Amino acid sequence: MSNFDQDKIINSAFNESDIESWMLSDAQAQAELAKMQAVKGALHSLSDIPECQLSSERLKLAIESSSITSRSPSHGWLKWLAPGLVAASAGIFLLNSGVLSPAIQPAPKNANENIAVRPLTIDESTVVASDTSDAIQDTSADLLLNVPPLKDALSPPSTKSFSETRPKKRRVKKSNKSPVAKAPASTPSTKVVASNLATTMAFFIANTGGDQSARAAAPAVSADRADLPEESNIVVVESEIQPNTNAARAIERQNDDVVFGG
Amino acid sequence: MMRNAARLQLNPVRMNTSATEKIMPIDSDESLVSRAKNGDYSAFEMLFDRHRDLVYRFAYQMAPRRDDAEDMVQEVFVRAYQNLHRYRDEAKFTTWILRIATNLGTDRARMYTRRNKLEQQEAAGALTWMTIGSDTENPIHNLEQEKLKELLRNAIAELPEHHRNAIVFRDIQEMDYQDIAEFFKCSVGGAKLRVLRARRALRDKLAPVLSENELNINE
Repeated sequence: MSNFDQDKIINSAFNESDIESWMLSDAQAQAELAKMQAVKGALHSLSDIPECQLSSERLKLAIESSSITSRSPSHGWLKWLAPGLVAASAGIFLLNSGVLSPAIQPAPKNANENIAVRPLTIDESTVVASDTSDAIQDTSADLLLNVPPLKDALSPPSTKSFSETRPKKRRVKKSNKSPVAKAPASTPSTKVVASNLATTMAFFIANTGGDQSARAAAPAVSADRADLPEESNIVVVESEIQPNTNAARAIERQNDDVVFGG
Repeated sequence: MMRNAARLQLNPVRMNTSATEKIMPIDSDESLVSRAKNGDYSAFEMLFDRHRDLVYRFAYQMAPRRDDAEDMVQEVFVRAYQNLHRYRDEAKFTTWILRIATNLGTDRARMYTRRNKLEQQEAAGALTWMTIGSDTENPIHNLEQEKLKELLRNAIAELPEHHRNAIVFRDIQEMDYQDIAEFFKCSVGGAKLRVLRARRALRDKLAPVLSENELNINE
């Protein structure tokens, strides 16, 4: 029997074509037809299946457990838009306000370590010695005699641009391989720190009473009193402690009423 | 109630498609899919209620146990919901979801068949008696019928995927050749040819059984 005839028998068995007369007369074709009709009946019996009991509630739970109920896959990138805008605006605001300016350095973790690595130069040409404690003692005594004007000490932080306030990089000699040489270039110079220190000490000595060297440093401050604004007042803190408050009394006075230097 | 239903069927929904605008009934599959895409879960539930049995009948042929088939149906609809944005109107929703079931069912069917064989071996055939419902008074006859069904299922499972799908769609689920052609992305004549080849392949698989005249299943 040819494949063409077999295909005709299959189609006839599955009721997709009529049974031809030659199939009824041929015994082999009749046997083949009976087999295929049995296959058709068997296949049809497979469609008899139990009823599906899957509920829509169960499907909903399955979908919810997949955490996809409220997700919109085509617009998933939108959820990052708002946090991104907030972060960008915050960054721009902080840059404009100067909080993130590189001129302001974070506080050192250890104060002693900071002293050890800070370059304690007196002037631009002096290189710090390895013994930092001696250098601090020498410079503190020297700086007390060269107190900078009060105007400089009390002036508000400079509003210069980043490029102006950024300290210049200082080249370190190759022979100096101590940790001092590895100090960052942006560390404030000793001169600036020492001037602030001297101003603070001069104020402290003037108010509490001290030795002659400190008192001698005070007139340097009073010499620049004329630079203060006319309208500004000065708060004088007395050394005596009030018995009722256990604190020193502070009196606000006019600029002209106060004589600096004792 | 009937009046409302009639009005719902008559009110068309105008939808924007990529190429042209077309008008479709409000309860058509495409309209429900569009609503489901916009977040209307009730529309997706309607799709589920409408096509659950179709997918279940297909899944049952892949995994001939009710709980396994229901698990597969659930997985198919979860995947459909997850990938609803990928559905385009070029194909019918039923074709699309049957394609998901086909992709999912191939691996699952293998797993379920292996597991059932192991369970039957461990229980030495006792599970067949317990799990198969009895429609006749004679349990031995019922068991023989189930054995023959199992024989036929194994023969179908051994067929290549395209032959198996053709047999299941046409001879078990009795789908139209038009739908089968859409599933296979071919013409109606091509679908008929595929079904014929699949039947021929099944006949060759069942040849030893057919020669012994054992395949006599009463409907």
